[in-house]
Amino acid sequence: MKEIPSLRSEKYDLAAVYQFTGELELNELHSYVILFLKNIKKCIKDLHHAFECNDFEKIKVVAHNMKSGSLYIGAQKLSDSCRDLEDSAMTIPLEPQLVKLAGKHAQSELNEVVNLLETWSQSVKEYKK
Amino acid sequence: MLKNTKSNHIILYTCDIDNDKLLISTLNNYKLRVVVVSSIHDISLHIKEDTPKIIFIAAEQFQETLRVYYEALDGIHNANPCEHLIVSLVSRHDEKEAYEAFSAGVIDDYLVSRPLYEAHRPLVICEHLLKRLGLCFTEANGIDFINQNQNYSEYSKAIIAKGLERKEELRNDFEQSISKIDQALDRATEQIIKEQTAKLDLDLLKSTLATIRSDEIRPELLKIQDKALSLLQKIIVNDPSLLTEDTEGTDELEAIATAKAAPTVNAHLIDTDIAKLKLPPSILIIEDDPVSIHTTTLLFKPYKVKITSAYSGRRALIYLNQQKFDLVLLDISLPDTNGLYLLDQVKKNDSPNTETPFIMLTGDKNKNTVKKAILMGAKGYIIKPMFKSTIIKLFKQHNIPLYLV
Repeated sequence: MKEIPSLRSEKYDLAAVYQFTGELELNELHSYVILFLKNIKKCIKDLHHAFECNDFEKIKVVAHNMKSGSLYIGAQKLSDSCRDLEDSAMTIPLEPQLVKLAGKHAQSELNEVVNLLETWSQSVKEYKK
Repeated sequence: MLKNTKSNHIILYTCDIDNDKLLISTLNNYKLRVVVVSSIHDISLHIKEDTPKIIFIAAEQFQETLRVYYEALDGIHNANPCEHLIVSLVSRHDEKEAYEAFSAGVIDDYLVSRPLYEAHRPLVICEHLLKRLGLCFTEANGIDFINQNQNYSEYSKAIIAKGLERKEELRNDFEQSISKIDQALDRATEQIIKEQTAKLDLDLLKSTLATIRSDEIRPELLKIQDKALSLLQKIIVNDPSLLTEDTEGTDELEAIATAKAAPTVNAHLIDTDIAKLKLPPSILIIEDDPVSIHTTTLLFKPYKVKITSAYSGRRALIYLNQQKFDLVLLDISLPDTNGLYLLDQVKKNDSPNTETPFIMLTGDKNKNTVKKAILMGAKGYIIKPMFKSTIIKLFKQHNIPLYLV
């Protein structure tokens, strides 16, 4: 008998979604994760572009959105790193090196979460077969 | 002449208002309200608003008018500017330079106003530019004008009248094509409801909708646009596969949010005015994050609630001016405007939602922002992410019934 893919990993806790949505079927949760992945990938792209252009305003906006957005899937570490990035981009006077450092950390967290969620999504697809 | 004179459609930047008194009074005499500003920052704020506008810029030298405007444009950073047109107020000395700038597309028009030689020229410019922005509706009365002028020769009257009639015919043809699409959309909607195959002339629809240049132009066209979107939504409801990796674009997501939120099963009645009417409460979520909108939609799944979602301030304003909601959840940071500004617009203007409770959504417990929102008429705030328990409590607080599906 196949085992339902675990909702928890060191970087996220998908059970957290239920606090915001109520109980969900596995299919619904899967669709939710797919939407979340799509959104997070866009954030990674936006963040990358913002760093390339030294657009600190945009960095702040993306970090701010991801700070609360990551809590939907219980990605507390990701949320913390986005909060640090947002804070660094809001510091006056601005210290670009500090922002870049915080950015590296946040980007690394983002990538790890994406990889883990993609693995989870794949295992759900296999489970459903 | 203007559809909505309450809105700030004409902005005048000047540091010497005495020089521009005649211009202001001429426009005011023709019921054109002018908002006078004296700082570049104020221009930026107006450009960030949703309302399309004409911006007159007066300065000592023409070059200065360009600097002022382009600095203001630069000052809005990443925000989206509203549809706007720029008119430089220049001296006769700078007229050639202004014309060259106009020809090169650096400005949209200019006016020799130091001094103002032609008192009615500002009106001509405004009328012309307001038309470009889709805000001016002048009734065609060309024939009356010709007949009133006794000194016009019969030949002149005849040739002008002929031309005006031809133009009127072209306009009527356009109106007929709108009416044709309107009826076709009604028929298609009926067929979709009956689960029959619907046919539409998409080329005609596309070419007609393409003539919409502003959200405030041609109510008939907007009506058609709404009908077309509503028809698409009906088709989307029947296709659950949309919520997959293939889902593209926010419009589709909005459609899903609206579509999923209208179940028609029996209701658990609660003793309020809305319950007595047996209408499901309608809420508007103004939020640019698709995950947040989807989360809220899932949250309301067990309840009979009509959810409408808007991903931008511009879209939200259209919904807020069109229908009354029982509750509005409004994100403070939006891609094209600030939630506080949107709230202010709704509370101050003649919107069906002036009495609707607005709850602000924010990522931070910034006391100043929250205080400002409450002063502007918000009924509360929620720090994101929004928990299910919080939203249920919110409905109770505002005496809004939740019917179980």
